[in-house]
Amino acid sequence: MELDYQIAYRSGIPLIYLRGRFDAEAASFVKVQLLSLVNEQQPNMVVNMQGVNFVDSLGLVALVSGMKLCRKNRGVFRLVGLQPTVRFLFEMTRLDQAFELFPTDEDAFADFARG
Amino acid sequence: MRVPARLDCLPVLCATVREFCATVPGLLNSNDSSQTRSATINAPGTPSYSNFVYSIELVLQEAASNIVRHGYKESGKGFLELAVSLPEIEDLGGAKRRAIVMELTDNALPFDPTARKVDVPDPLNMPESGYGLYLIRKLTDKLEYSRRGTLNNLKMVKYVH
Repeated sequence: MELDYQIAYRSGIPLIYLRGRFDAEAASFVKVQLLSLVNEQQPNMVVNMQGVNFVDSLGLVALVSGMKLCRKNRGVFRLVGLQPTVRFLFEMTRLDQAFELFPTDEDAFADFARG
Repeated sequence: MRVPARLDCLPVLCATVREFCATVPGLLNSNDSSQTRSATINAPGTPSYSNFVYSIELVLQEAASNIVRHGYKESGKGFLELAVSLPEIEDLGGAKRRAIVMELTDNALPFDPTARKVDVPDPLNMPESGYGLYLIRKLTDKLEYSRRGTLNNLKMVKYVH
């Protein structure tokens, strides 16, 4: 797998850092990790994609699964720092309209802190 | 180039086409700023050049991933063979155009990615499958599938100019 996975917490909310190639090989691992972090008590998640230079369809599906589970638990799922080519993929699949996208971690956490 | 039919071998295939793109005249070295079609792909570092290369890489990744997962059912057995070329081919209007052609050959189960109906993803429904075939169709100009004996051949064409 050519993807690095790292997790940190801010105010109890998981912040996942992904780096490298988010492809079919990495997707099942990431999906399991994301889904294990979300439940009724902790329905929110932020994924920082700044270091990701390639995403394929199964990478996208892993993110969609994470978002759906957060929403099901009435939480929010946010993505941070898409590289231009990755954003191009999101636009191509129209998922840029489905995800909440933020330029930095601070932006993504701003209203968590307020709320 | 031939690799084992495993997901961990796909980055090598993708690197091959990425490096191939860097050698294509007029793709990497274009200084053409006129409003011609060739100017739609500019110098390296610009989003359009990066998006073009990303598209090529993604098409290959999706096609190869389908073969490994569905054709070979992730058995780890079998092979994927990739040939990349830069011929001049006729487009639908009969004009000759330079194109990147990627041909994938394998001896997995028959699978014709051109045969299925593919829907545009609906962002409200957020489907959890179907993006791969959609991307292959969307990002290629021509797509041809053939089966001869036990071999599948998928030809993916994208115009450079």
